[in-house]
Amino acid sequence: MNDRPIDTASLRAEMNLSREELSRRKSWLRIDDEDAARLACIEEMVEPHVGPIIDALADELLGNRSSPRDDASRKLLRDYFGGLTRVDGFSDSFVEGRLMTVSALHEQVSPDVSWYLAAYLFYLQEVAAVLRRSSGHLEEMRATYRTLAKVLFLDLSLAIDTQVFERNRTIRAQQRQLEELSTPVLQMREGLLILPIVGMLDSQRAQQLTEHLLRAIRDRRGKVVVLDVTGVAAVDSRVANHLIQTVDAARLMGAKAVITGVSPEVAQTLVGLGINLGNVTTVSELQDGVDEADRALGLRVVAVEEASREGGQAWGCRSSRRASA
Amino acid sequence: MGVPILTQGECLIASVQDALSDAELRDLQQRLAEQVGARGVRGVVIDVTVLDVIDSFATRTLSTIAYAVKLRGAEVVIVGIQPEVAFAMVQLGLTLEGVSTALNLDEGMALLRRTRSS
Repeated sequence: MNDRPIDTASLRAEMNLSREELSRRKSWLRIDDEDAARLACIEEMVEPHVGPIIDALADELLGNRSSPRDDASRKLLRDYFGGLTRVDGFSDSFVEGRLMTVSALHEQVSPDVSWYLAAYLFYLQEVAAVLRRSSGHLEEMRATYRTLAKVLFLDLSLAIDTQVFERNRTIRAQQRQLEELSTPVLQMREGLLILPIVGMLDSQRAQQLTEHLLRAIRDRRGKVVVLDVTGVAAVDSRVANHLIQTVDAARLMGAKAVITGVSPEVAQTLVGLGINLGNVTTVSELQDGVDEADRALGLRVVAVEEASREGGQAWGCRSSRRASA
Repeated sequence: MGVPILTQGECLIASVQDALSDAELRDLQQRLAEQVGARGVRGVVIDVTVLDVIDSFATRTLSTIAYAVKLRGAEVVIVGIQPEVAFAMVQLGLTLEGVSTALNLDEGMALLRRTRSS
């Protein structure tokens, strides 16, 4: 999914797992020092029996496949559940270590939340069975069982957090890609930029679009900008306001903005809303916008000479020769 | 130190070097108004490339300068407003209505030449 190394400290920070949050969770699960002490005993008792339990879990998750990758996954699972009882007093380093293992497992096999839930329950039951066989005192066994349940649930919360976090991160990354995709600034010729706007224009996108455009004006020395809103289905007062702001900002940087592609419906809406685009040059089609821009740049598009000698109106061939102003 | 004002042919170039205090802005306004008439100047370029903030007072002063210079028979072009600054300005509703702007000093001078010849 992503191949950057896992840095637990920053991971914790990104996931909002502060020390306070962790101690809140611990107190919510009523984990105390006795639990920590009891865990040490559990480790001794469980360790010899944990192998078959994990094998059963791995079979459930991976099926009976055995590629090198699956073997690695099995090893990860062994670390994962083996590490559960290797707790030294629920310290921060334990939590960071767990996060690391959880992320590693997640990247390797990305199990479902349902798998996690079932796996934890399965593990708890199997380990409880082991405890029942080996422990003499009923009371002590109950206490140990409770401790184990607390650890598992704390761990489960980390695992689910990691799941949710990873998913959110993917969503954010895709959103960013989408945003970058959706606002290209095209340079048509020297000094002429075209900004096709497609889809919904909300505040965030409008802001981004304006920033893109302004940077493009500076970097590519844009003098005229054609904003084509053919692809904008609906316009409300906010969107119109954004457009006006974009035009004003472009003007502050010395670029003239032309808006094209205002559909009849959009025009009706704007009039209905009483929005005045008086200071903005608007023309109907993108082509007219480009013509307007050419005029502003002091350029003229003329047909190639053959066509003009034949006396035809060569609208179809728009090969241009620049006539400087 | 105030804003240095350079002479280039029939143009004055006020090149802002650092963030401007209100006093420096007023001082710039006054000196430009004086020098425009004195040397038969036809155009003034104010270069604000280095400014990363242009607030409402600066905007108003720039507008006043433009108007005052116009009354003295010359044109003002503001050049070098940065993308971030332009964006912040429109968000605050500061649009420098009626003042010419250009991308950089070059474009500003070209714009002055064009308006003079037409």
